[in-house]
Amino acid sequence: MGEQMASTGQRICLWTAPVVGAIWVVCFFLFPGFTAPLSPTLPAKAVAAFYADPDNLARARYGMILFNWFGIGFLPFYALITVQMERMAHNSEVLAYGFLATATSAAVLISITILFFQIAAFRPDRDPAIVQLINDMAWMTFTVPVSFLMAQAGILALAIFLDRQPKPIYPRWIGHFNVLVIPLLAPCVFASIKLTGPFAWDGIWSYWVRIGLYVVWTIVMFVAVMRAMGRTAETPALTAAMPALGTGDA
Amino acid sequence: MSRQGAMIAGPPPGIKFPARLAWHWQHNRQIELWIVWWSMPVFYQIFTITYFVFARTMPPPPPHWNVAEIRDWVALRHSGIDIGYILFYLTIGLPGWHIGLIATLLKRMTISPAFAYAYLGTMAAGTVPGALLNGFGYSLLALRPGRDPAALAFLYEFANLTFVGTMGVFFVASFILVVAILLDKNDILPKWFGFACIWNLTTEFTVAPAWIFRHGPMTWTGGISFYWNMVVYGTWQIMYFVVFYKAIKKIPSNLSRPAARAEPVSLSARGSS
Amino acid sequence: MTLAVTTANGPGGSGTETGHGAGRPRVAAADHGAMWVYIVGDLFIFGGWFVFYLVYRAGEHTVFAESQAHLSQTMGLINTIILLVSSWLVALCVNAARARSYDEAARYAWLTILCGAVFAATKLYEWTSNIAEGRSFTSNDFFMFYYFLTAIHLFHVLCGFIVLGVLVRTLRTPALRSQGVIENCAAYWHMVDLLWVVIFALVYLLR
Repeated sequence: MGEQMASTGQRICLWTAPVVGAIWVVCFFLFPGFTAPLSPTLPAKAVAAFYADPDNLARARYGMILFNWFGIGFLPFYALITVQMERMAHNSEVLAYGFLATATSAAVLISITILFFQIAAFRPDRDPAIVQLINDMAWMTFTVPVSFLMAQAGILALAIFLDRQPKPIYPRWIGHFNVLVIPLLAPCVFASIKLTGPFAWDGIWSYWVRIGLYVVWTIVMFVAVMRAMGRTAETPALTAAMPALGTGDA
Repeated sequence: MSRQGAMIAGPPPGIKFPARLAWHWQHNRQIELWIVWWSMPVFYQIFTITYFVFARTMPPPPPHWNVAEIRDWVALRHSGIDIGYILFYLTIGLPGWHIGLIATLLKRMTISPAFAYAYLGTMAAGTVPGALLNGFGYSLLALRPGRDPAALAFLYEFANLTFVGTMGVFFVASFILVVAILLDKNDILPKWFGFACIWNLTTEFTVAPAWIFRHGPMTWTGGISFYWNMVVYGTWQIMYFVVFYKAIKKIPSNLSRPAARAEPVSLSARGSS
Repeated sequence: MTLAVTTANGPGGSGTETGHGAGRPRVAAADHGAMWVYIVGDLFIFGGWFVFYLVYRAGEHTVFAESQAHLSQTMGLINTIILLVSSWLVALCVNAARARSYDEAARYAWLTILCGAVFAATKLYEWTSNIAEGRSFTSNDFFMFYYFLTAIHLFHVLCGFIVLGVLVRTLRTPALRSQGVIENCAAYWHMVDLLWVVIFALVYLLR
């Protein structure tokens, strides 16, 4: 119900999220390297063969084209979160802007990842050592930069905990949830040094848990944002909403 | 304007360190600004330790090395690169917080808010190639030491050039800061710092020849393009921390938002997007 | 909102001229201190580059001497004279502004800009003729320094056009007139001139 009270623009931003999410799911199943992640231990020839394989090649190309179109597709949704954060009882917009900045950086990384995959699939008869190099770069940029997601979650959590008003924009447990995401994502950085094991870029943790976390986070935030939309429509100006902190300040 | 300030009266006397932090969390109205400000020195410490102590990929090795020399050098630093860059990868998200801080200060200036958004967009998109790709280059070198020589040489150059040679982002961002600070009538940031940002802009020019030369003072590790540039940049960075610290202290804590935003944006269904 | 209203009383400054029409409070951009921080810092940075030049010159004396012979000292001298004249003109401008004859001052400012434009044009001509004769940025260390130093200097000249533009606008808009701003702009231009003189001496003349 709260949703109807929000502006058209906000509603559009909200509903881009499930649409983009659905497209990303399609991309996931299209690219054969996602449904069965390529092992870092594959020798160069095997990597080249993977891309050259006619069954894989078409799926890789078209899947990645689709992914390229919608790679930064969540940015309007993040922008909506930013707008909602500006309605929190903060003293300044720093947390909202910080969130937007980290979200933008994260989105840029996804775009770069996609570019590398596309380049690999562009010329399958390339020197295998080069194909492996490009593939390596793609997987590195896909897996290792979790820090942006961690920073994004961190600043959102901070914002939620500092949203001290009678009816906060998001319930506090969302803040705790975002804090939880941080240590869960952190081990993915080990994909930069491990070729095998759960933390390699095809490993249980760095791949499946990471992707699962991202899906869960997106769904949770979607519901939270939707619930908050009516809430933000009711929120008066920041300064009026700010409760007295500490001992009666002027 | 009342400067009664960031803290109502400061923490009660006699409070020891951990409890002091708790007090600030509870009562300091600018706690969000301070947390974000602190993320920067923390990040830069880790960044410095990563590059100069663990990985020792800074100062960078020369461009004219052959594949064997590169391989040996990377082998020597293998574990350092592993540990150092892990730390770096864990914290590279933090500068995004600080970009938000600068955008907030820019927003408080009398110039158009477009400056704040331009800065935010430029830096958020651009800090990625500036440092992360260097990490990936070296991590990939260390991950597969037996790589094809051409690929190896490529990664070596990729790592070093992207780090030293990412110019446009910081050029434009510095330019935005210069113009914003000099035109600002609110003195959010001091005028001398606006001029100082011009030096940072200049460093982006002096680094450009690193894309051309493989010997001499203007390579990615050269006396002019790297070392003297680092002196200029390092000085500016220190000024930057000090200036932002003071700028936050100047913000009145009970009304940090510019007056124009005091009215809530109409969010009714009839309202415009 | 904090509005900083400071008067510009820098070293030797004659204080801020208040706008008689709009009555706007004067902006702190006229703070001499800020401009001097910039000028000193800039001179320091250039100083570092000059040291590098001298060190490399000492190491490759023959190459440097031979290459230098290809540079036209006449062109260099013409450039120097143009900038010295422009400095003199901008000083006249400051004096005229002090005496409140703003129209005269504005004329001097425009002439300064004209000198700057001539300088830039001759620089470009010099570069293109050198490049046409095969002496480019990558030819040898001397020419690397030559192009680098003159290019960075030219960048400062281009910024100087912006500064002089601010000067002209300050002179012609009564509400904006501020002796502090005028003197800051002039100081910047003097710095540009000074840097060129040093470059001329080191790169063109020093054997």
